[in-house]
Amino acid sequence: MTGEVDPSRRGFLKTVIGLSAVAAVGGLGKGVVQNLITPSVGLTNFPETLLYWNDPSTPNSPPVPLKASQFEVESPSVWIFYYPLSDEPNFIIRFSDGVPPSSVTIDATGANYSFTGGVGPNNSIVSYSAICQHLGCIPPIIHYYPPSQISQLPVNVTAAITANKITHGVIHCNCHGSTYDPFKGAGIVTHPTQRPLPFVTLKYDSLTDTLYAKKLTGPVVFGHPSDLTGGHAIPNLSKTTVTKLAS
Amino acid sequence: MNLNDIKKNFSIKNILGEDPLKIEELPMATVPDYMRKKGGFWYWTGALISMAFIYQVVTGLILLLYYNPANAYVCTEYILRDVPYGEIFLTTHLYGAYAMVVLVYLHMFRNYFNGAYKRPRELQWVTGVILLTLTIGVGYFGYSMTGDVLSSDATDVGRGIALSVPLLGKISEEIVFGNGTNTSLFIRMLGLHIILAALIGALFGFHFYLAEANGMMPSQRMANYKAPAVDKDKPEYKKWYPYNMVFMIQLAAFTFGILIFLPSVIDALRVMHMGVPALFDPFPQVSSTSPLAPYVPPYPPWFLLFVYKAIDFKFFNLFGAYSPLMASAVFGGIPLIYFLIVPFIDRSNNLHPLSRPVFTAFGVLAIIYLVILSLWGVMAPGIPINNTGVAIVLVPPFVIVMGFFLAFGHLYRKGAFKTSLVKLTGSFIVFVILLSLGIFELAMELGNLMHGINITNTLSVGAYGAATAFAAFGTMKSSNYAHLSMQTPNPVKGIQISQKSVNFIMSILFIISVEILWLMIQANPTNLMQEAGFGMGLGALLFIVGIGVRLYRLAYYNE
Repeated sequence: MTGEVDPSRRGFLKTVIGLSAVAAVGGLGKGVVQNLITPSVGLTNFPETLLYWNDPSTPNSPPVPLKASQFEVESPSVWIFYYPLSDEPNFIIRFSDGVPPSSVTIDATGANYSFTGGVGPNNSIVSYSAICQHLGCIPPIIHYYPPSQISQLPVNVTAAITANKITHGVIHCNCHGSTYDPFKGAGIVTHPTQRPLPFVTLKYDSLTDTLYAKKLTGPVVFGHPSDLTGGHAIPNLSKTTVTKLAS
Repeated sequence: MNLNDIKKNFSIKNILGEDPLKIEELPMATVPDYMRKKGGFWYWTGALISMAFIYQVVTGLILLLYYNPANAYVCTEYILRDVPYGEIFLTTHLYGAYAMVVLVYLHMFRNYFNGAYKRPRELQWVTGVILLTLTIGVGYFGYSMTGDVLSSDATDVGRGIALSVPLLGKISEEIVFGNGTNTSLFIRMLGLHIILAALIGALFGFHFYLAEANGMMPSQRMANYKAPAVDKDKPEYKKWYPYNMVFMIQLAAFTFGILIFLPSVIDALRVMHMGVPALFDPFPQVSSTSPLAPYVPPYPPWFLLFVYKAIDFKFFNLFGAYSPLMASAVFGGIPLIYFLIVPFIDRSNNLHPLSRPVFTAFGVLAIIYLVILSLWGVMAPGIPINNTGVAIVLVPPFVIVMGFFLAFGHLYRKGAFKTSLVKLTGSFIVFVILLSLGIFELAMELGNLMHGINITNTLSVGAYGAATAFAAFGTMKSSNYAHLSMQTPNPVKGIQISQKSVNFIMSILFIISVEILWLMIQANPTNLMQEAGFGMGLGALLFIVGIGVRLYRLAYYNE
């Protein structure tokens, strides 16, 4: 503490104090930023979930496991179930013919992935995420149009259906007109969507004639950070109910 | 263009002009040295409150992002256990509130004994007293937001008091506590918590403006013990920038460091089940719907304990349904009104505490009653006290304190002694703590005596009586010593330190701070123990910054 000030010593002290302040602010910043990120909710693994329903033939009885062979073929009603999160609806569709595996193209990236085809009696049952990959519209605005309802669709869609020789109906979203081919892994038929609908891998137990949802494959479910996060898990991971929306 | 040219072209002076914040034009653009020296702490109690308030606003807004009135208890537990660093934000917000309440009292009593409410600072004082009530109010609503059993006890008591208001009871209860559903209740608690905090912010702005306009109150000696105590910029005072700004940075680093470090230590003790008293538990208690809820003692927040005990006084049973309201009015309302109007009763220009002994005695009594009633609330919660018991506890302090100050005020007027304010204030605190404890114990023992005299309680009355007398005598002596030391000023040489050793110390501290930061980064942000470690580390980093700034002032400002 003499009267003379050595500028380089003073500069050094300022720098070291400044760096300590940076360390403190850095630690604080880490805490604040990590705190501000809302902890994610959801699951870490796909559960294997049995599909339940209220059997339409006995409407007043309690829910029972869905019998694959009793599910309506190319139903004009919208059938959905939630899996694996309670805000992730999925379509379930049964066709009159077996659905073969196919390759699906993601227009947004040009990448391909393989769709494993249908399951169940005759390999005719498929399931897809029911959240439109364009901007997230949900059923019944987006739904399956069986061949009998194709005529209700806009002209450009019917033209695309004819051009692509689609015979088993389409999934069409009435928000902005995206169309998917459910017979070919929900691949894109008409834009604006740039991504196909992800498909749900189903497991068929031929002894009991029941179906299990096993996982989702394809693009990430719209609006979710991943298929397993961004919502609360369905209340009971061992079973989920297939319900019919008013069509 | 070389580096110096660039520096010159881009200096603040060149872009924004000389003194862009107009600091030089403020009434107190300079700050006298003694306010930054040892004991200068008392000049910055207001600054400490504003720092605590800023800390509360920031942590409160972050917690707001996670609070859910529809599910208050669940979301409190969620913040504590699942949100990264949620424990740090939640518990430091709680303890920050405690710190703010303590600092507001400290600031108020300091200024009370200092005569700061006198001309020209009457309005500053009145807004300050309103700020005290707002602070207690915001604390009450914040405490009621957790949804645990203590918060529901607190809202039940609040409801009861609100309902007993004549005529307006039902209306005021519904306005404050909602329509009776839990969601409505917690939305109100959240809303009122934020509204009161915003009011504090606005009124604080006014309070601070007045403080700037009147300037900082100089020491009593500088003001010659007479109001109006206003200071003018003097040539020997150093400028605010950079001297006082650097001091403020040091103060801020230590304040924020303590606000984060202490709660983290308490969190760690709590996680290890190492005897944190229920009254100061940093974590929420069980939910009010839990089967364990009846086992949690129904304490109010500690800063309201004094009213809580007053409700037990049988005296207030006279008022039937109005008894809780009357108790709050007598022990909360009357002191409040007294403090609000004191600048308009005490119109003399005397600043020295002993030159206005009655007012000083009232201030000391306010502290003693606050401490006694709060301690009583902790030790005998909910036990009814009859009139004799109340009189035994509350009358002796009045007689002793009033007599003491009247006598010493008389001596002071005769010029028998003059004492320095800082030391007088310090001895007041010792006086208050020892004497109030002594008097309280003495009163309890006297109460026992009334149930039947035996050797034990006679002896304890004697012992506590002696202790109380000793406390009073000790205070007397200490102020006398303070007086003596003032008579023969002994120039104390400040700590001297070379610029080289300062650099050496700070380099070591910097290396330590890098290690602390590294440890902090390893901590798991959702593990209660490791989060507490993170908080302690963060507090330590801030302390290191504060120490660095202190060393800088020592080496380069000679302060």
